[in-house]
Amino acid sequence: MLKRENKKTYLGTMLIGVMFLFMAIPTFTNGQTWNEIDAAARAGYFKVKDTYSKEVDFYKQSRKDFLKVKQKYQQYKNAPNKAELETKAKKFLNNAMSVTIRRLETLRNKAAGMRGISDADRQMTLTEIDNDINWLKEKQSLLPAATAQQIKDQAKIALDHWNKVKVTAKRISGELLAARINFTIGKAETLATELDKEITALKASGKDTAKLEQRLSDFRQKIALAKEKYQSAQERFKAINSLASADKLFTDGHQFIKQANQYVIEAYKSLKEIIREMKLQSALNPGIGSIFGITPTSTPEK
Amino acid sequence: MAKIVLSIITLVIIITAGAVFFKTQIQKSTSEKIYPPVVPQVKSTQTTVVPRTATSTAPQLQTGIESLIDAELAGLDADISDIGQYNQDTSLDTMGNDISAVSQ
Repeated sequence: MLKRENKKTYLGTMLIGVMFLFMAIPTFTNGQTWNEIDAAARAGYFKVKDTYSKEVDFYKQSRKDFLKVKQKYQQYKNAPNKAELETKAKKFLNNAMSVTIRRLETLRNKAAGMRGISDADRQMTLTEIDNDINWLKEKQSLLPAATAQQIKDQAKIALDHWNKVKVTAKRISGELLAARINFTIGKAETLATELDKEITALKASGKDTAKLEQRLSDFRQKIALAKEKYQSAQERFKAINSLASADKLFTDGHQFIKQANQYVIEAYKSLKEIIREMKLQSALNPGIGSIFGITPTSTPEK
Repeated sequence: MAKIVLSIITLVIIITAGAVFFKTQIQKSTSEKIYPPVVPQVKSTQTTVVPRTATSTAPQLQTGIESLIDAELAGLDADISDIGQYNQDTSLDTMGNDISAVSQ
């Protein structure tokens, strides 16, 4: 009898456990919206960026220390000052490499979380950044045992690499941005095709679609202009391959992206008007929402 | 002995499920602090297969799509701003000269 009751208690406990599991599963199997994915990616980005900012402070302090000791050595040129200079130079170089790594990690985080990039391109970008990070870590590991001459040699190598990183970071961040806006433009183009079908169906049922057609034309025109600006930006970003031109090309490309963004904003304003107009005609197809990552057949969120 | 093992397994399942549940809830609330949630109501509206002539859900759907558009534009704007700031960062502008000072 007692055994049977124990069995019941056990089964009851087991049932509660399984219920807990079922309660937990939907919270992470429910499809995340882009909004939620963006928010999570951005929170992660700010965390890495914060670590970078702290590293900048360490770097700046070690630079001050190094320059102070260097001045002292140049003034007195004695052995104790030389030893102190070597120590500070190593620390400064080490921090310069660390801050460069953190800067690359910030970009890596953005590349990993930003949407609109194909898996293959994302992987290629991450590998390129990882190679730079690993290179720096390897050079960093040589610093503690470096002689005075080796410190100077390492400094030359680090300088060359820093100049290379500056160019790579500008190109990659520009390309990420171009892919991101292209993603939104692509969505708009899909929407235009879908809305066109809806309007054609309305027209076939005898409704007046003149206003809708005009607004759809505005929408398409603005998206076409946004696409032109995106393409100009992409050309600039892809051309970034030297220190001399990196800043100018990035700034130009970024300007084009901002202009493309303005056209996207205007286009989506027209889209809202189309949606309102279609609502008035009771012709809004729920399937349109799927373009934004939501399918009408998905399980309702509780 | 078997009873003890079964009880331990049950306990582990409960603790794991509970931990996953609360962790997910905490993550959700953290994300919502950054971007106010505009989507959930829309999701449930769109899950119903509505006849195209039905007017009852159309206003909600309209608001839903508009919110999604706003969220899409806000996300894009944030990325443009982040990348812009990343490249305008001047904290390491003197690094080149500073490293040169080491090699001299």
